[in-house]
Amino acid sequence: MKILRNISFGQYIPRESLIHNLDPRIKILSCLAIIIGLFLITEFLGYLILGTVIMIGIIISQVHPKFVFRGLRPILFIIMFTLIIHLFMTEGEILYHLGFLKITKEGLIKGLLITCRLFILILTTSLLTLATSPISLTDGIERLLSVFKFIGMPAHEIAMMMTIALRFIPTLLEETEKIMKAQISRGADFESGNIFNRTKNLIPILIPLFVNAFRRADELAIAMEAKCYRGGEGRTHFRQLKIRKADILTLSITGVITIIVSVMF
Amino acid sequence: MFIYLEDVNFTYNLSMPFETKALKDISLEINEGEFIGLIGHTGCGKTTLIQHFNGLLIPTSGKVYVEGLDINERGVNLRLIRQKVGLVFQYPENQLFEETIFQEIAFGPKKLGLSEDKIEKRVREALKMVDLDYNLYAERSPFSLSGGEMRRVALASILSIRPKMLVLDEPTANLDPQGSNKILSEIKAIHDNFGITVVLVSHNMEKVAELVGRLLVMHRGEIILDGPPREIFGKYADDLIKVGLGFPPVTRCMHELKAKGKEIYTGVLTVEDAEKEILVRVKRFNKQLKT
Repeated sequence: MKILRNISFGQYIPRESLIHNLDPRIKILSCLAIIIGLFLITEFLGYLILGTVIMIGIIISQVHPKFVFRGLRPILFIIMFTLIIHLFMTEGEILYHLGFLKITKEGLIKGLLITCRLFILILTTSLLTLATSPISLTDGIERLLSVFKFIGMPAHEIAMMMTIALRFIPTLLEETEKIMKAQISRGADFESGNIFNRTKNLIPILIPLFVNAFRRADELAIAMEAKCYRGGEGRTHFRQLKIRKADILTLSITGVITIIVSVMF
Repeated sequence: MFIYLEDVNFTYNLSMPFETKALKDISLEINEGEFIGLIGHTGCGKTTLIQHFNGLLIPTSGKVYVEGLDINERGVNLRLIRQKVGLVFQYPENQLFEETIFQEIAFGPKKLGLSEDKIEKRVREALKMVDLDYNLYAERSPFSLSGGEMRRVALASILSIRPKMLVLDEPTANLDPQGSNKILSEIKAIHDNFGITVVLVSHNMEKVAELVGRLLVMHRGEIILDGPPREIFGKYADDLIKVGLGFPPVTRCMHELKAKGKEIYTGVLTVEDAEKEILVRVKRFNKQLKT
């Protein structure tokens, strides 16, 4: 049950900081630039520079680093897993024998590079979601996607779906916890048994969760209909996005750093 | 002493920016066979408190004993405790998942590893306790029922593990008056006929006050009043008003009469008692006039 409380990925921490006040489109594009950069870089120094950029961003955002690093916890397993796979599966100069397994120099370097990449990737996206409220985030995505409207991209609908999905994450987590507790009170056991049994034990959680989610979706649809929601056409925005000097500066700085770093390393 | 809490504190999100103290130094004894009402505003810690009764939450500091077992001790069998203390959550109908009502109610007994015969016996017994006919309901889907019926099935699914104590979190929430009267009278019958200790959580004291023998009033994580409902509504009226809790309408009426200078006992909970009390006073008053 404790696991559910500790998910901070996608959480928003309200603060009054430079990063928080940036235009969401700029934030998304900057993150995108850094992420593309991350995949082009093949040397540690490059990761060091991009990592520093993100750390500076975290400091400016005034979000406690504890929150940012908590976002890493759930994917720690994936990072370890890829590191180990790379350590043992890459051919090359052998550093160490471990029974029939061997660790190679190339594997070690590749594994560590990938680890850095994943690490910074998560930090970047965590910073984005921690410092951008879900509403402005989806607003930004909608505006960015509407560039593709001419090929029939339903930008507003996609953004609306994202808003709703984001909105219901905490609700569903809370509900999962409640259902778990209720079933534990009825004698269910989620902590012991083999994998097969444990999976089977999830049924008493999943079915009520789905039933309730569908019911909620139904109610939400009716409520939206009752408010005459008709999709994006002709819909205006209460919050008008405006690009300011700080936005242009931020995008240029991250853009330039990323380009230089990816070209050099 | 069935449940004993000693200086229990509980804090959500301990040592995090969202830290909230939900329970503050709660000490409480609950004896076997009691019928207790737990009232207080939304967010005062009622639900947090009852989750300590069966070890779903472990106190941040302090001790909780269930029949002498310390729930915080290493290696204590929490499943055994959860079998003794049946906890019915708010909107328990949202936890139903089986194909038939029989299977739904048999879930708990099955987890206890009982034989088929015993399971069926328990299902029959539990359905009877919530006044649903076995032959009519056992093979139906729980999702085909009305809200009130679903809630009774959910209640039966706890009763089938034969708890010694039943804790219900807002069992009447969102039910129509008929449905809520029905479920309350069933709970009363379960207490009276089977000697099960009952704790009833509610923010609506009107009906609870009539039923229970002891009332706990919570406010901001503390138990501020503890006693028989008549005493609480009679003597501690000012305290209740101070924390923003109301009275049953009848009791309020009596308080208003008293405020108008009438000599009257205010600790009444039902219209019948109020009628008696007023008639006695009127008769006494008439007698005084004559002499």
